[in-house]
Amino acid sequence: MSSKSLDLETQLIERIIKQRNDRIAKAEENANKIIKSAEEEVERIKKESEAQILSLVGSDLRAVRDRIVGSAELEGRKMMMLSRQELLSQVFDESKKRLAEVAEGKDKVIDYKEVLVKLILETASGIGGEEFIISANKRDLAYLKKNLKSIQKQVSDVVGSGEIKFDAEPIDVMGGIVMRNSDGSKTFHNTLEGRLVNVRGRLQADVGKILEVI
Amino acid sequence: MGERLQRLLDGAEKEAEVKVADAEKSAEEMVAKAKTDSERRRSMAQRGYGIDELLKEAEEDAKKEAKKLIKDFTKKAETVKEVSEDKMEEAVALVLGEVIPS
Repeated sequence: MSSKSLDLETQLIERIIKQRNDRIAKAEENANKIIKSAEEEVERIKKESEAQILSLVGSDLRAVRDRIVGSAELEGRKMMMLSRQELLSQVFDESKKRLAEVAEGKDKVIDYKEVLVKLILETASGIGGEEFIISANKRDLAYLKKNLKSIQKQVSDVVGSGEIKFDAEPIDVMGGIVMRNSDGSKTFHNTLEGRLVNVRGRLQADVGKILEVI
Repeated sequence: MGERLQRLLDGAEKEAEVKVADAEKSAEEMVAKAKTDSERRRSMAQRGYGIDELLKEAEEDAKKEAKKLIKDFTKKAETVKEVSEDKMEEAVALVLGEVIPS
């Protein structure tokens, strides 16, 4: 065989092998496309199925979420409420402490003796009548007894007449008074503690606004 | 020589056909299985079965959401307590002003 015919034969073999390889490669490419397309179809079927299942059990899933998240929300709101209450308590505890200082005459601005008389006048006006029996703590009773005439006059000026008597036993209060009429049909608690409790009930929202927690 | 080369090409053609046929068969099986599985799961879900995994997943998601909520609320609850002395003083003054008769 000549060198030329040998070259031709080699070229032919190479061409055939290339054709074979190309054919196999093309088939593999097609096969991969088919598998890929099937995988996409499987994915689509799964998604569609999941969506259908979700719509079928959606209420169950929502119930699970509502139970857990709802409980957390409740807990969170309780935490917030407790924080606000704690803060409000701080304000009222501090107020109570200051009131005690006022009642003990330690406040430089507020004259507790004047406050006490005002409380008596306010209470006597509320009760009405001619005779008033006052209960107070030991310190205030001593002061009131000592200044009975002056106080009695001031009461008379406000309610027209007014005889004041005192309970023998002092009561355990920070300050202020409890007053009743002679037959005991009307009793007015006007202690500092009582007023603070009333104010707390009335002013929680206002205090909350000042503290910017509402 | 020519005959051997032709056989080579014929073999390649056959091999290619088999590859594609195998792929088509696999694809059909994959899709059929997916359809069967989906139908089975959907049917089970309709009867309330086989949704444990979904419920568990929903529970896990909800727990994560709840944890974040609590974290946010805790932070807010702490912030609420950070009040300036001036504000506190203003609030106390308001209370005293109401308790003490003017």
